[in-house]
Amino acid sequence: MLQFDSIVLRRGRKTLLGPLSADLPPGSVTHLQGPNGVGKTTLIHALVGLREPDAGQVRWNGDDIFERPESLRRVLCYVAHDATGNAALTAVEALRFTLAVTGEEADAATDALREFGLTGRSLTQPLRTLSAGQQRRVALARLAVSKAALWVLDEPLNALDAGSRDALCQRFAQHAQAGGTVVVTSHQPLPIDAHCIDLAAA
Amino acid sequence: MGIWGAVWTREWQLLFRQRQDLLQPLTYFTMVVMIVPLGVDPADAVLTLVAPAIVWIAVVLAVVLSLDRLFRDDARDGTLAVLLTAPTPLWWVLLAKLGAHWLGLGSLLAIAAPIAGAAYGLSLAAAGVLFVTVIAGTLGLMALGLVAGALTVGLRNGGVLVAIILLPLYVPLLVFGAGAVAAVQSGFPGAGPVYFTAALSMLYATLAPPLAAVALRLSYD
Repeated sequence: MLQFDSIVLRRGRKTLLGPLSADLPPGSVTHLQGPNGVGKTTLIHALVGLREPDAGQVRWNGDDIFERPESLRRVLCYVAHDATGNAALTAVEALRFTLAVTGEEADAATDALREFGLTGRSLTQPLRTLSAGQQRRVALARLAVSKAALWVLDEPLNALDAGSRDALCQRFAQHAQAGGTVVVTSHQPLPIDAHCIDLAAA
Repeated sequence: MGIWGAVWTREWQLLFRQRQDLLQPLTYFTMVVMIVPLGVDPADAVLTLVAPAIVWIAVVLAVVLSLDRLFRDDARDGTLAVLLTAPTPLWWVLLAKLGAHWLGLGSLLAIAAPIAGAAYGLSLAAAGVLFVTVIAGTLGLMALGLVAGALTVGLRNGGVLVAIILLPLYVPLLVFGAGAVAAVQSGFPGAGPVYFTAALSMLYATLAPPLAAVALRLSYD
């Protein structure tokens, strides 16, 4: 279980967010909402261990993730809002690398990309020639093979068309049903059952 | 496929597609080496005397120029965020990256250096020692560069700062690397400074990946 324990995040002297406490149990989809600049990405960075909160703790199964980061990293699949992969690589090359360093099966890359609707030339062209939506799908294709229990996705729905948006949200629901935890930031409402946390009110 | 396989495959793919990343430092090296004699009398015996220093300084400058590519793209395209949150130990990935960069650019510089040295009138033995010290020394130069690059990854003018941080730190390698060549050129045995260059490089290459890993975690965000 992922827990926020009175997290406070600051930018300089200004308090950006908090104190925020929440429990994100296994089997849940959590939707972090809030207007631009409220600190969604900063909170995401805090909960994947990229930025230590200025007060409070983030805990995974009871362990502070900054004291024992390995236990979080073993179960984490994090896709940043600006994750594209190196523009000179092809989709297959970029995903193979990501899968290899995150401890997944690199050979599954092509099938994962097909599952996310990338076929033919879009697999073998440099990423810079793909559209924004296609690049997003390359970054998200990790989810097709991920064995991670905790999915943390920053603005995953950006640039996706309506069809792939729905398919992606169904994937979140399936992952939660299988006992996983999903944390998503998005400006759009999710078409599935999700626990909403409004950061503007926190 | 292990981590090293994955990192090396990716680095070769990138080097092959972005050949300017190798060609620019090499061209810069060539130009620095070629421009010095224009400021001095080209027939001057002084040139041969200072050749080891000039070639070594050109190597140092070429390495500094190449460091930008170590983390710049990775920070921008989200690869760094993947590495920082992955279960794979970050220092292990960085060591693989250092190895790939060294084999790519380090070996090319090691081939170019004795050719430049010979053009300056170095003896065959001295040019040979130049080859050895450059191949050994570039590993150390790049290892220090890995840490400096990691420290400045979040900064906008990181490139200039990297050069300012690094040049003083490069003094020991420069002294022993160029010193070995100068010793052989004047007829003394050069083994001592060569070993010193190699030992320093090994020390830096051992310490750099964990240090750079810590620096990356601190400077990210």
